[in-house]
Amino acid sequence: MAQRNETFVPGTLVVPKGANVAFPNLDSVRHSIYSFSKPARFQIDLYGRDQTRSQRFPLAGTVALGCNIHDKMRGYLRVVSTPFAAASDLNGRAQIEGLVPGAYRVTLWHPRLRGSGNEAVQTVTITPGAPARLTLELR
Amino acid sequence: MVRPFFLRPLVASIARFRPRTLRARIAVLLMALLAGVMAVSVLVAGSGISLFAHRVAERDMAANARVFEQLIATRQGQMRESAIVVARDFGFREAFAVADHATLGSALGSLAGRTGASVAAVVSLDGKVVTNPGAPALDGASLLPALDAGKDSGVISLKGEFALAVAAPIEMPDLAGWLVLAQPLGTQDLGALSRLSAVPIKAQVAPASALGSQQNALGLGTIGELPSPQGSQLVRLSALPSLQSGIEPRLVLSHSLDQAMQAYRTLNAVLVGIALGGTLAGLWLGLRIARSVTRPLSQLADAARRYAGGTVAKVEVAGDAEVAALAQSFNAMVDAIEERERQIVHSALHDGLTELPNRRFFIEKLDRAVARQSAVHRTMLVFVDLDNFKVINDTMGHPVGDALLREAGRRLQDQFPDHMVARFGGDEFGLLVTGLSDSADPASLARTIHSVLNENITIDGRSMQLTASFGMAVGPQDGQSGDELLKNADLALYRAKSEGKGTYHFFEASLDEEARRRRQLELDLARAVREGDFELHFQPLYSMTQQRLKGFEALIRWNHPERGRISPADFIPLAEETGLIIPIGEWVIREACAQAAAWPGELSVAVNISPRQFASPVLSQTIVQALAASGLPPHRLELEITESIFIGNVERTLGMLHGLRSLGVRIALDDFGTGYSSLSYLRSFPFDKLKIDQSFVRDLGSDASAHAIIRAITTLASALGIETLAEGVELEATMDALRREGCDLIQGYLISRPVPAHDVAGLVKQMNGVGALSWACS
Repeated sequence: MAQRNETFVPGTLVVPKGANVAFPNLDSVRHSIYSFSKPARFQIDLYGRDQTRSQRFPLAGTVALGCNIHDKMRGYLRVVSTPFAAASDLNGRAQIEGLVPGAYRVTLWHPRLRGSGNEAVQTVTITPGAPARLTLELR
Repeated sequence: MVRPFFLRPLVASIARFRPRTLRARIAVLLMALLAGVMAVSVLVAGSGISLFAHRVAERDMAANARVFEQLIATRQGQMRESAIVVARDFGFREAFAVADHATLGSALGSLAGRTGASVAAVVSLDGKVVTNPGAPALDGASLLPALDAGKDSGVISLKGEFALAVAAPIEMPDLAGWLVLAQPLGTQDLGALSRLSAVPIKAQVAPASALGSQQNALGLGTIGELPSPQGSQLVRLSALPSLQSGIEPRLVLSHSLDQAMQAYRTLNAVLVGIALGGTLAGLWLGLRIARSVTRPLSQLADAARRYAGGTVAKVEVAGDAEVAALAQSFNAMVDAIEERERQIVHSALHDGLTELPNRRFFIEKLDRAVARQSAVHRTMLVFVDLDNFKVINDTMGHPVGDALLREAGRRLQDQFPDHMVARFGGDEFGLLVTGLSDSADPASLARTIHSVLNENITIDGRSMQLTASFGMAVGPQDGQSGDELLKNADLALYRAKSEGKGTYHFFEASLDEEARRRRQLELDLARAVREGDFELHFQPLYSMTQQRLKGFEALIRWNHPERGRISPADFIPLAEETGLIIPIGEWVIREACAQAAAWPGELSVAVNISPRQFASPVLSQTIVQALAASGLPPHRLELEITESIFIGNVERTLGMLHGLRSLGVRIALDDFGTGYSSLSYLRSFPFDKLKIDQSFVRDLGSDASAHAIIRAITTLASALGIETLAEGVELEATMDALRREGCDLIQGYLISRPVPAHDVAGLVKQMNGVGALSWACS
């Protein structure tokens, strides 16, 4: 999860539980990354250009990342405990490999999704060769 | 025309007032006009001022509302600044993130203390609230909709009171809740707002539900006028942003209209004062103008009234051109009327011919003189009548007659320049001598008048004798009133006239008595004509040559029922004067003819015809009827006329005589030798008989000249083939003398007195013998 042009890149990142995430600073300014989210409360003191800090995320859940210096900077980490997870592209398309056809419980997350913890749980039936369509309501 | 409603009662009251004088009307109209203009001005200005005041107040209020919003926004801005700072504080966010309520509470407490907010609270996304210690409870759930919608300031309710609140989002970095600061909207803020505004405005924040229906009906942002216990108020409502669902805070700005209008009230009062002053000035001016018009009018009216009352009233020629011209015209009119009146009075009171006062004027003056007269201040009234004026007028023409009248009047006036000489009409004049003292001698005055009115005068180069008779009465002894004096002077004149021409007479009491008797006689005579109290007596006419009676003269007798027989000499002149002679004469002719028709032989009857009777157009008709009725041959009727019928129109008289002659009657000339005896009459008309007046006959014995006259008459008459008869023969010697002088007939007591009709037969028998016998037998 890099910082470039005072923006987290990529803005949303899906990582498995217990993953170690690096926060390379690609800007000329310094950043101080923090999170008050329950799965990971941490603060990384200011670090400069081309420096990298890392953080381990042992608990599954959503981690909202902010920068103490730059209020506008927002980034999200979704720490998942399942291998079947993916982040969509800007068109809302995501692909999860390795699923057999059948009915699945899907947890959807989006920072502006209505619902507790910005999550929504839906049920979807996977049929081969056809993408499943899920509908979200955003704030 | 549609009058403004407020003028209608004014016009109505003016119409009811309806001033009667021009002056009042002008003044009232002018004043009403001014009052109307003033009233309209005041009303327009007043409403303009009121409108202006309203506008000012509204503008003030709108400005105040904006100021208030600004004030609130400033306050909220400050609060939000503080809130934002705190909301971003890492430690604060951490405390919030780990739900460290104790730390959070103390942080909020210190924030509240720092910002002066009464409540500092954190509202999490699920509506849970953490506040500073001791703060009033905050209903987080009710704030969520507004907060969720992104509102960051507004009004909330704190323990039922409105408070100003701001919210700052707590982001870490996602939105996790809001930091809310609230401060009560106390009277302090609103008081500060009132102090800030230019006009005293009362500000109040209230929930919409607590407002009156009138206020709610007003609408937001508009200004309306609403009644209140303190009088009319301008009210403006505006909505304040709410941060809490369920409350609708309203800012109510109110402004007492009375107070707003206070400043303008003085202006209005001044305007009304000016209007009143203007109206009063208009009244004064109207009265002045009206007076300048009506004063000359009323002066004219007054002058006209006085003029009508008899005084010569003129008005002063002054003032404006029109007024002066009017006054001038009025004065000219007064002059013209004066002049005309003078002329009318003059012609009404003067005689046109002589320019002397007339009878009316004379009597007016006489009445005034009589009213003042006394024994030492006597009034003498002279009644003058010119003698023979009619003759002069007839014979010499009216111009001469008129000149004579003028001359007589002039002489009289010249003689008495200080006394009134008047012409009464015809040939009558009056002279009024006033202020005659008791020592003055009326007789000498009478002599003077007589000498003035009886002398030769020359008219048109012809000399003639002016003669006049006059009667006089002197007041007070001859009369206490003008009428009485006039009557008595008239009586005196009558007496003078009857005494002869050119004489005068003073009034005496006996004249009055005589006049009274005359009047009685006149009445009696009229009655006698009606009742036939007359009788004919007959006196024989004896022919000396034939020694026998030739006829009788019929003589009238009046047997008065009370006074017995009245002499013809007494009543014939009266009958002649009153015109009764006409019916009397007719009766005589008819009676005489009727009697004579019964007489034997050729006995004729002679009847006297008076001058007036002769002039009557019915005379010949009467004669014809009498002859026809009686059967008397015309030649046996003889008409006796006197020379006086020739006075006046001789031609006409001759025509009449020839006409009578053509009836076949005989015509005798009576009283020949007296009066106007003129031989020319004898030549111009062939009379059948001349009756020689008895005055000559009486003198026959003693006067030789009487012989000569009678002889001359008889010679002349026989030469012309006219019979002669001598009247009044009483003695045989006279008869003998007459016979010697060649007279044909005699009449008189010697032969017989006049006898009643029934004695005629006896007389004829006695005188004519045989003839009487045959008559007696017939």
